[in-house]
Amino acid sequence: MELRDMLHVSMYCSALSPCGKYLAVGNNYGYICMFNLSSALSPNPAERSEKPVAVIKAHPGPVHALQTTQKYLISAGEGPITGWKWSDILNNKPKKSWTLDNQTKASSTSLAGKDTQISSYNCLCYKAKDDILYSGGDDNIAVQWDLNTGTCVESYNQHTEYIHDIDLLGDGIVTASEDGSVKIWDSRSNSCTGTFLPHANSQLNRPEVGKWVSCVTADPNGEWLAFGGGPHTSLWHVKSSSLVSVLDVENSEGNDSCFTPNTVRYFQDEIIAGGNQPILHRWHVNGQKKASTPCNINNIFSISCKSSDKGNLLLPMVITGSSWKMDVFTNLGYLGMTLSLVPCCKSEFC
Amino acid sequence: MSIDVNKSDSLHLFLEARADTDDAQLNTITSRHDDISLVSIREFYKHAPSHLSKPIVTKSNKHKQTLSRLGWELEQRKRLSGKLELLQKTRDDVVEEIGLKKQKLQTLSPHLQALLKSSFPLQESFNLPLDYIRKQHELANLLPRPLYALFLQAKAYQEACDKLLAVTIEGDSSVAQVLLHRTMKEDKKFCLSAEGGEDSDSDLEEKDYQDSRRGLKSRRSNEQKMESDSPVLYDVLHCHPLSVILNLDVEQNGPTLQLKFFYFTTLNFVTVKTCKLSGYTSGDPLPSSPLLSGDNLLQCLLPSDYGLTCPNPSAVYLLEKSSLQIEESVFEFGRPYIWAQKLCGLEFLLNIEDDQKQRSFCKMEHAICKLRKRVLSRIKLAKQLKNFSENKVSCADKIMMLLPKKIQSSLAEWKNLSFSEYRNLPHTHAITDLGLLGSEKEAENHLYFLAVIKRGTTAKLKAAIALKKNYPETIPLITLALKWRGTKYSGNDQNIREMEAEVNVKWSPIVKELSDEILAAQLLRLMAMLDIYVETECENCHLNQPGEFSLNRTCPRFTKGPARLKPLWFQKSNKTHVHHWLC
Repeated sequence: MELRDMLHVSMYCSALSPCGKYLAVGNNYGYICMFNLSSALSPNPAERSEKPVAVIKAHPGPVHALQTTQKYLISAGEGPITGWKWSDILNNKPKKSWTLDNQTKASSTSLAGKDTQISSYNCLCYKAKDDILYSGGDDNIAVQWDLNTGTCVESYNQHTEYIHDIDLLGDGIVTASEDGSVKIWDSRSNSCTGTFLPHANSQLNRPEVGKWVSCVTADPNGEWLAFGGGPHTSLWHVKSSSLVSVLDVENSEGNDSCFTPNTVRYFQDEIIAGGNQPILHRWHVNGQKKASTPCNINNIFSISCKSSDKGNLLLPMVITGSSWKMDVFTNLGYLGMTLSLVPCCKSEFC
Repeated sequence: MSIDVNKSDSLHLFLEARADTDDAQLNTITSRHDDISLVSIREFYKHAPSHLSKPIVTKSNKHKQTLSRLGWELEQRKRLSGKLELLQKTRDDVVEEIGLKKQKLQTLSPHLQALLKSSFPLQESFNLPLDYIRKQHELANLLPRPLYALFLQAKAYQEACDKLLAVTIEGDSSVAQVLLHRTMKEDKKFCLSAEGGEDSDSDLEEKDYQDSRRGLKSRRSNEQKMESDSPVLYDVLHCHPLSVILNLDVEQNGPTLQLKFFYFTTLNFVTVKTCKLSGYTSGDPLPSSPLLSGDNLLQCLLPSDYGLTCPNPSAVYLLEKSSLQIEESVFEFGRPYIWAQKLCGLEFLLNIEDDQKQRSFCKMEHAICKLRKRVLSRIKLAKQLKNFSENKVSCADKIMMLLPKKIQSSLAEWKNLSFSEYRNLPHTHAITDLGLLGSEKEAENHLYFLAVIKRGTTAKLKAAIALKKNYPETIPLITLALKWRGTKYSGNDQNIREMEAEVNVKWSPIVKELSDEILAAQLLRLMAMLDIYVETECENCHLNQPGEFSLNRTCPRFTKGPARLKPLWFQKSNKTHVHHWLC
C-alpha cells in the first residue's frame, strides 16, 4: 500500500486478540494490519509505538469481517474464509492455517450457469461454546461451520439478497440482509423462525434512502434486537416481534443526510451504533438516547472491543471506517486517541 | 669575408711565386712568407707530386724546398678557390630558387584563404563544420570542470548514438581565458604549499614572499590587472562566462528543446534553463501552454527534484552568509536541479531516498531519454488540455474498449486552478493532510484543474484534479464532489470514495502503458461511473415515481459489501457492470 492508497482506504472490520493486547484491522485492499494496542495506549511515551506489528495480504479483494477465537483470527472477504493463528501472527510468521469453502455452494452456482465466481463473505460471528462459526455471504446464504472439522454443518437459505450482518441470538442466529429483512434462525430446527421487515413499518420506513438492513445486534440474553439500515434504527422485542422503540438521532446542523448505521452493538448497558456520520451514537437499553460522541471517522464500519471470559465486553473500544485513522476510546464519553495507518506506509510498505 | 681573404692571399702568393721564379729578383728581394702557414715538410713530400717537390734538389737546398713548398701550396689553394667558386655558384642558385619558391608560396596563401572561405558553405552543406568544431574544442578547454564533463559526455553521446542532439558552447572566451589562468595559478600555488608542508615556518615566509612578488608583478602584468579589476570573480554569485547549450530534437522533424547549462563557480553547482521549445509536432504548431514553458518540463525528472533548493550543502551556508535568497539570485540562470548536477558529475551528499533511481541520471543516455519522454508527454498533455477546455474528451481505442460504448455524461466545464483555490475547495484537505502533494513550497508547483462533468441537467460532478510535476509517473489525483440530491463527497458517500479510488489507484495499473492519455482516460472513466451512479441510485430508490435516469445496462448486482458499493467496473467480455473484485 502506498501513501496514495491511504486516501481511499476503508477499514471495514476490526478485532482484538483474546488477550486484548493486539488489534487487527482489515481494509478494502485486502490487507490485515496488526497493531499493538497496549503499547499504543501506554502512558509511558518511551514504550508507545503506533506502528503496525504485522501486515498481511489476506484476501484478493476487501476484507469484510474479522472474528477472534481463543486461538485464531478469522478473516472473511473475497475468497474463502481464512483462519490465522494468533501465535503465528505475533511471531511475525503469519500464514494461512486453514480455509473454509462451501463445496455444495460452488456446485450450485455452476449449476445456475454463472461463471465460477470466487465466493465472498460479508460477516462472521462465533459461538465459543460449541466452537461454531457463522458466516453470511454474497450468495444470500448464512452458513454454520464446525471449526473442529472445518466443514459446513448447515446453511440457511431464504434471503433474496446478500447478507449484511449476523449475530448470535439464543441458540440460533439473526441475520440482516440487503433484501430489507431481518431473519431469526433456530439452530435446532434449522429453519427461519421469525422475519422482521422494518421497511414495512411506517415509523421506520425511509423510501428515499432504501430498505436494506445493514446491521443487527442481539442483547446477550437473546430477548431484544436492534437493527437499522435504510429504515430507521430500531429496537425490537424478539418474542412478541414488536417494535419497542425507534433509536432516534437528532440531526446535527449542516448535515442534511440522514443517519444510516453500518454497525450496531450491545455494549454493557447500552446500544452503540456507527454509520455515515463522524459520531458514535449511544442509547440506553430502553431505546432512550444517551449521548453522541464525536470522532474522526466520517463513515464508521466497525466497533470492536475485548470480551472478558464471562462474555462481558470491556473497554478500550476501537472504531474503524473510511479513513486511514482509527479511533480508540478508553471512555465512551470522549475520543481517547487516534491510531493511524500512515506512518506504517512510510516505513513498511514503500 | 673569408672568401675574400683567401682570394687576396692566393693572389699574393701567386705574385710571390712568380717573383720567386726569377732568380735575380729572388736575390734582391727578400720576401718572406711570414703569414703563410704551410703544410709540414713530411706531409709535403708525401702528398706533393714529384715534379713540384723535386726531392733530390730540395732536400738539400732549404730555399728551393721552401719555394717548392710554396708552389705546392699555391697549387692547392688554386684548386680550393676553384671549388669555392663552384660552391658559391650553387649557393646562389639555391638562394635564387628559394626566393622564387617563397614568392610562389606567398601568392599561394591568398588563394588558399579564398579556397577555404569558399569551402565554408560546402562544409556546412556536407555537415562537416571542421573549423567550427576546432573552435568549439578550443572553447571546451576553457570550460569549468563540471561543464566540461557535460560537454564531453553530451558530445560523445551525440556522435556515437544520437544525431538529434546538438551540443554547443557559448560565452565570452576571453573572460574565460583569464579565469582559467587564475584557477591554474591558484592550483599551482596550492600544489607548492602542499609540497613544502614539512617546514611550516619557512613555508609561510616563502608564501609571503611569493605573495608580495605577485603583488608587484600584478601591477605590471596585464593579465593580473584584469583580474584585480574585476571583483565579479570573487562574488559568491559568480557565474562562469561560458555555458553549454543542448539542442535536443525531441523526435525526427519534431520540436526542439533548448537547454542552457550554467556553472556557479563559487557556489559550485550547475543550473539549467529552458530557453525555448520550438518547432512542430506532426505538422501542427506547438500548442501554446504554460505546460510547455521552462520549469514545467524539467521539474521532478528525479523524485521530488523541483530545483527549488540548493543542491550543494556548503553553498547553502555561503548564500546564508551573504544573506542571499537562492530564488532571487540564482533562478534567472535557471534552476539547480539535482539531475543536472549528476549529469555534470557533481556529487553532493543529499537526503536521498531512492539512490538507485538517481544514479541512472549519471548516464547521458538516460537523461536524454527522460527529457524526450517528458517533452513528448507534456505536448500530448497540452493538446489534451486544449481539447478539455473545448469540452472534448477523447482517448485511444485501447482505453475506449475498457469503457461502456455509450457514455451519457459529458464534460461541461474545464478550468485551471491555483494551489490556493484548490486548497480552499471543500473536499481536498485530506490530500494535503496526507502530504500527497509534498511540502507547501512543492505543492505550489503542481498544476490544478477543476472539471465539471454533467449528466442530464441535474447531476453535476465536480472533479478537482491535482497534476503533479512528475506526471505521468504519478498519475493525476482526483477528488470528487457530486451535486445531485444533496452534496456527496468521499466523506459522506462510500461510492464517491470508491470512484475516487478507482480513478486514482485501482485503474492505474491497467492504463499505465497508455500513461500519456491517463488524464483523458480518467475523465472518461469518471463519466462512465457517474452514469452508473445516478442510474443505479434511481433504480435503488423505492419511491413510487419514475426514475430520473433509467438504467438500461446489465448489472447482475447493484450493491456489494458493507459499503453497498455500486458496480462501477465495466466488464468488456460480457458487457456487464460488475464490482471490481469480481473480475
